[in-house]
Amino acid sequence: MVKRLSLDNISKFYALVAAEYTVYSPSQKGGLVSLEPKKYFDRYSLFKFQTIMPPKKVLLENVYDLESNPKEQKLAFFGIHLCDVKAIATMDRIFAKDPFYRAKRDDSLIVATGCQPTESCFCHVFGANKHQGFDLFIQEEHDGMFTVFAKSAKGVELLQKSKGKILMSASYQPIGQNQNEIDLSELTDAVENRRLFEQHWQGIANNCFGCGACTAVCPLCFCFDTIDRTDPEGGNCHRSRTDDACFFANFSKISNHDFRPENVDRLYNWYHHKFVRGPKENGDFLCVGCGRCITACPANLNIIRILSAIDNVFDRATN
Amino acid sequence: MLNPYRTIPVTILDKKTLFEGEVWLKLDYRLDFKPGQFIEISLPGFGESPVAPCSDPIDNKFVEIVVRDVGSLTRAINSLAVGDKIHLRGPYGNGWPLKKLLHHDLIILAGGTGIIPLRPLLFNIINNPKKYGKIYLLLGAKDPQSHIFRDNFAVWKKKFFHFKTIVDQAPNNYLGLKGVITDLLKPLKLNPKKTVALMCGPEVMCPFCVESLEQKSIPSDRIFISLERRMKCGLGLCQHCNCGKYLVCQDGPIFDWETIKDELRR
Repeated sequence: MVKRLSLDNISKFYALVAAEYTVYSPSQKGGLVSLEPKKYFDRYSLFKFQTIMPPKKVLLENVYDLESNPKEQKLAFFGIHLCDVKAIATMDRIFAKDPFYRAKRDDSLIVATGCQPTESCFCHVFGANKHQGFDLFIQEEHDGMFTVFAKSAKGVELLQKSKGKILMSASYQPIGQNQNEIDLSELTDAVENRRLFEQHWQGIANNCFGCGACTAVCPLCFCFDTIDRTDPEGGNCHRSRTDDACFFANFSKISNHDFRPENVDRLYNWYHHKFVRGPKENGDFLCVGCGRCITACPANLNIIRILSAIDNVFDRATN
Repeated sequence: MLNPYRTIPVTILDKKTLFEGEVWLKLDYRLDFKPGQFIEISLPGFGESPVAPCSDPIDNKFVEIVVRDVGSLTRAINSLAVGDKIHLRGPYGNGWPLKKLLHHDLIILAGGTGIIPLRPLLFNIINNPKKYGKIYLLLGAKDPQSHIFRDNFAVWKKKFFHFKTIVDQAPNNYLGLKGVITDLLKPLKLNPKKTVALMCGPEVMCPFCVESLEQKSIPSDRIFISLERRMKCGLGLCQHCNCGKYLVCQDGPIFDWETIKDELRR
C-alpha cells in the first residue's frame, strides 16, 4: 500500500504510531542528533543525516538481571536509514535465541526514511541502500509532500488509519551515493591473510588508541560482558549484561594466558570478525557502510582507506 | 522462550582438596553431557567461568568438577564447604567426536589439568572396551603432586594397553619418569591407519605433540585438541572465545588439528 501524505498528516501519522508503540526517533540532544524516545513528530524525526548511535543501542540495551524473564515491549523506530535497517536484519539472525533481544524486537515496527550520503558513508558497497527490511518507508518528494510505502501487514494496518491519498503506483527514489568504493571480491581473502600484511596491520595499530569508540557506534558490533551487581541495600545479586569492546586489553584473557596481548592482535580481530568470521557465520559482512566508526575515531582511522589499501596490497601480492 | 542465561543452584555433596589450590567437587545435579563438553559455573557476586565436568557421563546422578584457584570466582568456590550451593548452566560445546573414535586405537595425551575433560571419555572407554582398539594414555605434569586423579592410576594401568606418566620436575628420590610428554610419545609404535589422537593441556604442549604424531604418519584430521578460551556466555553471542574464525563455545571446544592449526596463530 502506498499513500501520499502532507507534512501535517505525517505528523498525525507519527502520533498514530506513538499511540501504539514507544517510538524512538532522531532527536536533538545537546547539539547532536540521537535516537531518543519521543512522543511527537518534530523537524528531526525525518533527519537526513545519521544519528550518533545506531538502533542496536536500544535493542541490545544493557540488561540489569539476566536471569529474569524479559518483558515484551512494543518499540518503533521512526526515521532510521536503510543501512541501519539492514544491520537490524543481520542482528535478528545473530540474536535469534537471545530472549532479551527478542522481547524488544519481535513486536517492533520499523519506519525508515531516505538519507543524504556523508563523506564517510559507503552503504552501496554492501548493498545496504536497498529498499527492504522495513515495515514502512517515508520518502520526501520534491513538492514537499511525502510518499509512504507500507511493506508489512503491521505497516498496512497503520497506514490505512492515516489520512492521505492512496497511490496506485509509486517508485522509490534511489538512495544517493558518494565516490567511496571498496572492492569486495577479494576482501575476505585479503583480510584472512594476516601474515602477508603484518606490517600493514602493525602500521594501523600504531595509530590506533584501542579506545573502542568504533565498536560503540557500530550498528553491528555486539559483544558483551556479564557483571554481577550487588544491591547495596538488600544484598540481592544480579547478573547484568554490559557492553564490551574487543579492543580492550584482557578481552580474551584467561587465567594464565592472553590470546591477544597486543593492540595489533585486537585490531586485526575486529576486521577479521567483520569481514571473515561474520560472513562465515551469518552469510553477511558485519558492516553496512554507515561510516560511524570513521566519524567516531579520535585517531582519524578510516575503514575505507584501510580496506582499500589491503585490497591493493593483496592485488599486488597475488598478481 | 527459555532464558538460556538462567542458572541452576546445586548443592555441594562432597569436596576434596586434590592439591594446593585445586579442589574436586561432587554436585547434586543430574547433568546429561557428552565427554569433552563444558558447563558454566558461578557464584552470585563473583561471576561465571567455564569448567569441564570430569565425571562418568553414564552414571550421571551427580556431576563432578575440579576447580583450580586462579581468580576471584574460583577462590570463592574453593572456600565453600559441603552443603553450600554453587550455580551452573550447560552443557555447551561439541565434545569429543565419539563416532570417529569407534574401533580405533586411541593415543590420549594430557598435560596437567588437561586430564579433566578427558576423564569422562576414559570412563566411557572402560565401560565399553569392545568399542575401541588399543588405548595409549600418556599424562604429563609439572611435578608429582600436580598429577590429579592419582587414585585412578591403578585402574587405568590395568584397563589400558599402555599407560605412562611423566613430570617436569621432581625430587631426587622420585621413582617415576622425568621429562616432557613427547618423551613418552616418541618411542611408541602406533598404527597410523587406525589411530586417533586426543589431547588437552597447555597450548604450548600441543604443537610439539602434533609434530611427533605427524612423524608417526597420523594425519592431522585425526588429531583432536580441546581448546581453552574465555567462554563467557557459552551461547555463541558474547564473542570472547573466538579462535580465528571459530567460536570455541559453538564450534569447539574440540577441534581437529587440520581445522584449527592456522587459526591458533591468528
